Amino acid sequence: MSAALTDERRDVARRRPSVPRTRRRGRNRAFLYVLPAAAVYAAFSLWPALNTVYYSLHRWDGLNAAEWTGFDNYAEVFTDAELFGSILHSLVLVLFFAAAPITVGLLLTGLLMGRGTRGMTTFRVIYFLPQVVPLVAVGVTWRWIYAEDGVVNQALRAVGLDALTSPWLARHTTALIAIGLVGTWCMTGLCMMLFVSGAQKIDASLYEAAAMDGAGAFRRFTSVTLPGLRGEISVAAVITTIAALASFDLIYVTTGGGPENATTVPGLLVYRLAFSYGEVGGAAALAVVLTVLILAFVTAIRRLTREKE
Amino acid sequence: MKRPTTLAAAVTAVLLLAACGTGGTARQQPDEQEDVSTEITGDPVTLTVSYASDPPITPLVDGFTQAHPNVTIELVQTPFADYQTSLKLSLSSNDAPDIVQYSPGPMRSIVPAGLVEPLDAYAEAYGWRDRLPSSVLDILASNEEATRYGTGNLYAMPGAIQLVGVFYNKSVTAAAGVTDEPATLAEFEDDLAAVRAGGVTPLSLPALGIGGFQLWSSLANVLADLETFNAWVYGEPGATLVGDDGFVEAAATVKAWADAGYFADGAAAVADADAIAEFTTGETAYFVTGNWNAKAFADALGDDVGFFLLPGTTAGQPAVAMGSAFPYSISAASEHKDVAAAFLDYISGADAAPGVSESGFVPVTAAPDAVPGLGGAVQTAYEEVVAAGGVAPFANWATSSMLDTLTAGVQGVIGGTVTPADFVASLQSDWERNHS
Repeated sequence: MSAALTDERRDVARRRPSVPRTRRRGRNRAFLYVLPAAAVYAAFSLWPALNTVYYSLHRWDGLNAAEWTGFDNYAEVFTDAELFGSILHSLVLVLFFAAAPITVGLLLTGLLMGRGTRGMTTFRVIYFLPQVVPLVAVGVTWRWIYAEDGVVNQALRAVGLDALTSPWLARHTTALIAIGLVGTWCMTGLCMMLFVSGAQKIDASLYEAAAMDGAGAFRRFTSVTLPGLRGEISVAAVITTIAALASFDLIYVTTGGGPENATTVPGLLVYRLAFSYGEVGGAAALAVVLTVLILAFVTAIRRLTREKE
Repeated sequence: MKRPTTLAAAVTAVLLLAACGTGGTARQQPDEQEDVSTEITGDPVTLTVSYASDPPITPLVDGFTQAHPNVTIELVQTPFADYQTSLKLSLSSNDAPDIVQYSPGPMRSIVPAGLVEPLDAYAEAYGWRDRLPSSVLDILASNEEATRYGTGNLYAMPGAIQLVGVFYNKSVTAAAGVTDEPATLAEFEDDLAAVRAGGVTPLSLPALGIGGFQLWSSLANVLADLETFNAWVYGEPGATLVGDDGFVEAAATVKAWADAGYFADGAAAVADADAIAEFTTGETAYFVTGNWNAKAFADALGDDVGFFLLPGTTAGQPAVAMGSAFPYSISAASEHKDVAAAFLDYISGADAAPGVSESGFVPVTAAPDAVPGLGGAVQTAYEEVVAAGGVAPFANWATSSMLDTLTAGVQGVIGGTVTPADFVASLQSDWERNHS
């Protein structure tokens, strides 16, 4: 379909100076090609999204008559400690789901690129595996790993650090960090994959030139690899930040938002409000705030990583 | 300049269109009861039953269709979490099921929308209220706004009883030198201490799920005033848990048991399935839970598993325990309400009892023959509780959000971040937010 579109555009461009009527017809025909995809997009993405905005201005249980409440639901998102707390938790998760994996991913890329391509596939498979496992299975497994008699505590006991053992997911202070580290484990492989494939596209002569100028391995990484990976870093940051802010499944199976609401995230509360509490309006408002937050993050990331012109 | 205007116009148009999307689905409640009959047709009839929990529905359906061969019942199962979310949609759809498993959360919207049939005329025709204890039926009746139980119309009938009590692994307790079931709470605490002294974690407590609140509720049932608790769950105006120290004492007991190491330090991250595995493999001695787990326990431990009701402070205290039915409602849109009502009559009667007992639950009306094993122990306990008038409702029925408030609160109490008094206050503030 995209090929047809290009042809159409070329057609239009060729005829532009002499035959304006045909040009208009051509443009209309172009819209015709777009229509099926646009209709599906409007029906299944735009329409529900706008409906969500509409619901967020009401108190509605999903069944009986709705009551217009204006911006009350939004006010509640920012004043209710539990709702606002969930947004703060998701911001903490951004550090673990986005910042940490990108840092570690870059580090791994630097190490792998420096050593040439020997064993590269093995490394890639090992680090990418977490991406292949469904998050629900990942969550249940990590719940056991973090359990009182889980692998983490067994390892600590084995080296005599009994005093440090803790039921990690059951502690108010450690639960969110523990979940964040699961996110880091999941996302690092994805980031590394993106970065390695990006780094392989960087012209080898750049490295040679830098080496000839006397740049060491570290300098080559910061001056050649990093700028060359700008696009990949941007993509990785967007994907992982969205995963952090919109997280749901991992939390749902590991802590269910507990202990004592220490790990609630907006996604979890949207689900509870809409489907358990019968507060579709409040759920919609929180979802809209979450969407705006994600858009703000993505815009900021794209700005920061844009090529200088 | 042009784009924002177009966008604004589009958004306005969409909002106007969307305005048709809410509030149109509610059906009006019929002002008068339709004619009801306890005689059902002999013509072929097909009923659809939508449910989440199995057992007990399969033995109930098998028994009914055997007695009425002209009736075919189609079973549509949805996993519990999804069931809650889909019930409203399925009942308001054009091909609504005839019978649905009642679930308190969604019913708060479904009852006001008039999507389930009030059963009072059938209750009178069949004599249900004479036949069944009020502590089982009252919670299934509510006002038309569904803000208050125990008043107004009856909306569901029970098919089996679930009861919360203490299950124990006889060989583990015997190894710790505990020889008999405790008669008082103090004796039970001594037994817990004895098991702990033997190096075994006494209690399984899945506080990640519903286990935490069930331990608190069970303790509150024996330590606080039952009338106060009932009024609160039923949503009677002005009801409050604050003022009866028993509720705080129950939470303080949970904390004391946590500190004494009577259950795992990390209970707040232990899921139901993990706790069941611990108990059935003998890693723990006791499990305060409901008989929905009885079959799993009996299958794994055989005669080694026993059951008793959580005892009160004195030996003579009337038996009390949390219990509820597996209730079923009739869709207002059903074309075979008489047949559906005959099914509800059957499931709560003695004829259905053998099948229900076999599936691990307690029948609503007991069969004359005694049930062997663990099921028999639970049934005896249930009869004792009914005789004392002490079936307490589940605390999470109080409001739609109470389950999460209870779960989070008990986790806080165990972890020491919430004081027992603040925990009870948090329950009350949830209640007040939902009953304003």
